[in-house]
Amino acid sequence: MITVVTPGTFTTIQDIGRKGFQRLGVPESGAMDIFSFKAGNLLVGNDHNLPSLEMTLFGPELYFEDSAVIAVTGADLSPKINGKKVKNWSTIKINPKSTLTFDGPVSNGGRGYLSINGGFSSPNLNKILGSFSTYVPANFGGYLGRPLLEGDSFINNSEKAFKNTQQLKSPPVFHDKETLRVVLGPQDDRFFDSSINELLSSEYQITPDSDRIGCRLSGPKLIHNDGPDVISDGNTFGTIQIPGSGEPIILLSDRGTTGGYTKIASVISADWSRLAQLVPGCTVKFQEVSLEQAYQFKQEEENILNSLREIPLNVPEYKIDGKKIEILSSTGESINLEKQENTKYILEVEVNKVNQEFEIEMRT
Amino acid sequence: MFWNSKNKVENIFDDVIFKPVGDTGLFIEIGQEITETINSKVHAITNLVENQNLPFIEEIIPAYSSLLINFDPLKISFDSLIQWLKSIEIQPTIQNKKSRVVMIPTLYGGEFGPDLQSVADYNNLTIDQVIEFHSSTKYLIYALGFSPGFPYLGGLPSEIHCPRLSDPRTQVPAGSVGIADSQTGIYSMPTPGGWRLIGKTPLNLFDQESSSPTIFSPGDYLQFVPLSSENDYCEIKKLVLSRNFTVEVQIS
Repeated sequence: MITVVTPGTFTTIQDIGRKGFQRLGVPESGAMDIFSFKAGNLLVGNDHNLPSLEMTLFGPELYFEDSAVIAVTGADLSPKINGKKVKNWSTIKINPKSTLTFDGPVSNGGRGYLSINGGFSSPNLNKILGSFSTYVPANFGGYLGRPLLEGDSFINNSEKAFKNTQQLKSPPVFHDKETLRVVLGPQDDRFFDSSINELLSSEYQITPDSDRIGCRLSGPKLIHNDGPDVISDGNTFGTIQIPGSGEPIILLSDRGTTGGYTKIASVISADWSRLAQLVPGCTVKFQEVSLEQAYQFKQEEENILNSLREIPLNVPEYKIDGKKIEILSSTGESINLEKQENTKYILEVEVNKVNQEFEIEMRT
Repeated sequence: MFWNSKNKVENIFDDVIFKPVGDTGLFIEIGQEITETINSKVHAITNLVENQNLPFIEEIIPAYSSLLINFDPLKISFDSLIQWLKSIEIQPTIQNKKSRVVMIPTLYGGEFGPDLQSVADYNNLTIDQVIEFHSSTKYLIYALGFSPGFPYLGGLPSEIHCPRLSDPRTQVPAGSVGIADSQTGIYSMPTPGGWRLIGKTPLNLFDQESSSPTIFSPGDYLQFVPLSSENDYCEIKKLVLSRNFTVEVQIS
């Protein structure tokens, strides 16, 4: 059992979001910083999409009755176990009867993620339309459709024998001045050239009315050449829309599925993590990149996650007549045998400390 | 509509505009007007792509005159996706798709439609005439959005157009049927709103517990059926709440 002693500023259950129902008007929701969210799950040996906590600025105080395997990723909200500082971006094993607290953000970035081996679980957790993500505006998904409150509790599914601790080698650093890379369009032709130049050269400030729906900016106003409205069309995470005020709004997880403001550009997916970590007071600049560059940056980000997916515990170990053998191909189809004289062998396969034996015969 | 006289396939993507939305979105613009012809092409493409079950496509969002496809940039690029779409073989059945008309029982006026009188006054009509105009039209569902299950409808008769309230309500109950200028729609969830409320349906427009959470899809038609009494409204509401109500759908 894990008990919420204090809930923190705004702590919700999230996963990678509600997929496939935007055509019916259902917002995607999901973790704002998907990279940090996935990394957290991978660090505790989960599939990348198990329900985790998204914590905003000040995290909760949680009491763990039993031992657990957890990771804290995203912004550094200063996690402590029993009053002792613990590392972000690492697998952490905690003892029974421990208390996890957060002192608050120590540097930049506003959203932290808490993952636990086996995922957060509770009879009060609702999987709605394929996702555990909390969509607070309509009060569904997650923990009873709302942010956590004092006294809420979770079942602890952590494996007692969990061994594979990892840490992310070079975790992202969030700055108070960020440059986000964008691809222009689809309605960049609805702006004067001077406004496109303005967007790509000015510094914008994040305003306090930003939330999970959108990041609102203040700075130089961008001028439409034919009014701010378009026939409503689909919205994407990271899309920069310009309403009549001329000040950009960048759409985020809880955005409406469609919208009728001109969309001047979109932040590339490799920069969504840094976008999600912007908090009021930060400033942001935009830099245009090509699609090819964007794909390359996305692959680089994925490679970082893949480095956490290479879990040695899941690699089978093969032995023949007690002798460890080398597997040449990842499918295990060809194996290297050295100077074996007889043709019958016992093949011993060990996966996650479980042994299985097979009698095999080799023919040449 | 997408076949020429020799019954040879004209590619449905021939005269559309493709634009990127970041590195994860493909914006397909069919036209720049709100018309039934353009919107039916939006739904034809949506159904066509959806039926392919392509693993690199994460989401398709049809709108009035365009659609947005969200894809996984680790699996496919913008250019390859366009090539892929253009290579899909179009089966003749797609153009023969029958339309569904979803019937929406609605109680007009009174506390269920507090602005019905003002819509009548604005258009110099009686309440009964407003109800007659509103319920004798089949409305195309151009898209769902604003809130889960909220239908954007086209085709409101010009006789009953009426501007929004100057002072929007902070909370509009779910099921409320409203008019805003040339649009009509149904609030699918309790939200703030400035549309003039002329009636209310006992149907539940969005059931998050169901894997098909809405009673209609973009591209369907919808027609309002006036209820004669509050008693009828309550009877249907009871059946809806116990999940025993079957929504009437006419195929045409």
